[in-house]
Amino acid sequence: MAETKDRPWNVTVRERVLVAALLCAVWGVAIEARLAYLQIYRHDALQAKAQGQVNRRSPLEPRRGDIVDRGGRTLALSVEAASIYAVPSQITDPAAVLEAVCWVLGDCTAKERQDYLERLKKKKKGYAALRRKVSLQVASLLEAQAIPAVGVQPEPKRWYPNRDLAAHVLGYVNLDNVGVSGIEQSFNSKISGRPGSAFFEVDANEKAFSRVERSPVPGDTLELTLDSYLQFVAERELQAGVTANAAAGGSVVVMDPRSGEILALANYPSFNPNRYGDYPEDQLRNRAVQEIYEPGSTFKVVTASAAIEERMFGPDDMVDASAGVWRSGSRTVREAKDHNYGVLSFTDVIVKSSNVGAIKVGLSLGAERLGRYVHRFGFGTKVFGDLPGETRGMLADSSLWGPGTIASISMGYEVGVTPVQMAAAVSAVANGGAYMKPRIVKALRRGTARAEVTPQELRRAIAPDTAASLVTIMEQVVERGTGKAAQVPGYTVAGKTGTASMLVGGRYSATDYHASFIGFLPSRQPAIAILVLVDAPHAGRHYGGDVAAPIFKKIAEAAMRHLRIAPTLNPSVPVLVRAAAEPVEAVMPASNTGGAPRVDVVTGPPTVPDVRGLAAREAIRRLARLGLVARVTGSGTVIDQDPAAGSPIEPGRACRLWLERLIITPPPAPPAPPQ
Amino acid sequence: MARTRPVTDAIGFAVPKDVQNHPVRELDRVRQRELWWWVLVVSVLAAGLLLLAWQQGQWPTIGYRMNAMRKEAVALEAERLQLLLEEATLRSPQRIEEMATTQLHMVVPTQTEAVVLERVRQAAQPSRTLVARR
Repeated sequence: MAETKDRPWNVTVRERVLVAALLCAVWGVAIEARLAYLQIYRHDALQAKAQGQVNRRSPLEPRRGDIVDRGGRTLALSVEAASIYAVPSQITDPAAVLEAVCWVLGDCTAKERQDYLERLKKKKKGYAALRRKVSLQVASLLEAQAIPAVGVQPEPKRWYPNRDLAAHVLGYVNLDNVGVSGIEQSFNSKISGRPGSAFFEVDANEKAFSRVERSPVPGDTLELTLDSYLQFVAERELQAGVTANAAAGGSVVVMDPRSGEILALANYPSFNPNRYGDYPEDQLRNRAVQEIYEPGSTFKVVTASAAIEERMFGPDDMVDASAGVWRSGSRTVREAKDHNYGVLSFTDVIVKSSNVGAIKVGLSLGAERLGRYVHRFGFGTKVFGDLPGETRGMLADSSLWGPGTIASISMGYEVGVTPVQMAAAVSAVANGGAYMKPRIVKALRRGTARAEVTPQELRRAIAPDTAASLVTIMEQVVERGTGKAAQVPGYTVAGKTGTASMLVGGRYSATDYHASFIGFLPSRQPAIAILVLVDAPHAGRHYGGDVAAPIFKKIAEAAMRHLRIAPTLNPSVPVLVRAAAEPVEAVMPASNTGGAPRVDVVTGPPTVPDVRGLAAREAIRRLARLGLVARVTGSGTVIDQDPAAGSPIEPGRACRLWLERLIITPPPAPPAPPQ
Repeated sequence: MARTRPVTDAIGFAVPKDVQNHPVRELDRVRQRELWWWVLVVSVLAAGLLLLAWQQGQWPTIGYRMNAMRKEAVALEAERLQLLLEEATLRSPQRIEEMATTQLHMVVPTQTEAVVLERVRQAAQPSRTLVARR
């Protein structure tokens, strides 16, 4: 202590300060070193760890495009549903979780319970799907139960709100929203859209606070040529006809012969695409496109077209069908119901559907010529393209046709066709000879842009005058021939019946037939062509004229009303309705073929007159007569008015007029004649 | 007043060093102005940093709100689609016909009962009318 007494205090203080400073320096260096270690040496690893804790990335599924009919009615759309999942690694009591989930679902089968329990017991798994695409109500109920380690995730679900309407056309999608049938399949790439992705940051509670996303591109909306109402009528009448005739099934195709647009395509039996798994596979097939049948006498339209086009026969030329039977080698062909028509006109060969007459016409044409027209009418090739699984039909090469094959093909045997092929062929006759490509897609819509599919004329099948001759012949089929049951009061109908034995076990059946009718109306300006095919009717009748023609008639009647096509036979006198205050020139409607119109005068409240084009003074005078006050802007002639002409007069409301003075520039003087 | 030890220095004064001498420093106006100027600068910088820190703190809050709004938009879109589905189901031709026939006892009109009216439309008026100049 004597030493410290002699030591100056400032030295002692200085030393202590130095020690403190040294300690602070060491502490500071340690801090800096740790900072450098974390920020520089461990920078990448720590940053990756932080990003792993905060960053999340998830794919965004695009919304599948809607499918609508030609009037914009929704036929198929996707809505949000939910899928239930569990995290087995976090579940301690799988049985309790299973009971809780099944209580919410309410309809777990024994097999489902077993499946779910097996999945919940897999402790190493971090994810187990339980049930996909449940309704949002069920999902909300499940979330409200707060079952541990069970959650819901959103998933789109495809719905067909009209159930089995146009089911075979629409098709269906699988659990992963990929089209596997119908339009859903053939246009899957267009309507499925493009997925996006979202990158977001979450906090410790897994709540997102930052998000960057590449938005998914929704699928295109598909506008079909189908008319929902006509589709419904076709399905209704087909079902009624098949049931009434105790048949196995049937198809109906309704086409616009001018454009090739398919307005209705029905098959029976049908199915509900919302529950496609509940139906056998053969019921899911689109028979109108994927199955062939021998058309029978409806194919005589093709034979007749070829004969007239090649100038081999005219409508009044005579064909010898005497004896009522045709023989070639061991082959014998008789007329239906063993008729013997004798010698009859070419027209009557078709009207009475003479098999012998058709064979004689076909043999006169020969294989090469007949084969050429068969191809011109689209048989033996795929003509549609819009629906998957289309078959080209069955047709042997014409170079291999012997007399027996020519005879068969002339009357619609030894040739397999689809209902769509047959409808397209007769549509060519209806529209004057142009073979239009059948189509079922009208347009594709993406946002506000709309790309319309234009009608496509594939080729000219026959000349217009040939078509006109055939129309006349086919009218007589309905008027006095085998198709009388297809008559539609007030309309001229052209058509052809068909009755063909079905091939059963490699032999033609004596009890099973394809009964069909193909026709169009109004025959001189056809709006629709309809094919009706009924398979194996067993209610005592099997001819096309008895089974298919009545179905055609019912569909045609409803179609004419729906399309607002006025009757073409003995049309009623047009009725014009006019208001009492307005003089009007009688305007004759285009369909009026005679007779003065009947003018009915309706007295009702006065309306604002049309004063556009009048001078201001005259316009004001007319308005004043009706008690209206005019407010004028500009000068000259009235170019616009508000309220518009025809509006009811509202008391106290003024009528605004916009005037403009227009100057006509005289036309330039004609050039001087050359000297 | 503190006691002090008398200190003899080289000159040998006997006067204690600690004299009653409390000099009062004269106020340095220039330095004081400079001091307040620096206080202002530092205050502004500090305020700026605080504002920046506050803004950074607001991002997560805004992010939460935006996320909530996005979820609300998604829910509204889902509801819209559900309503579209409901509308399409209600407009189904099968449903309409079933209601018409069973509840309203309506029937499909026969050909003579349904009359097709052809609509006669007048041609549209031209937008401008030409008049001759006198």
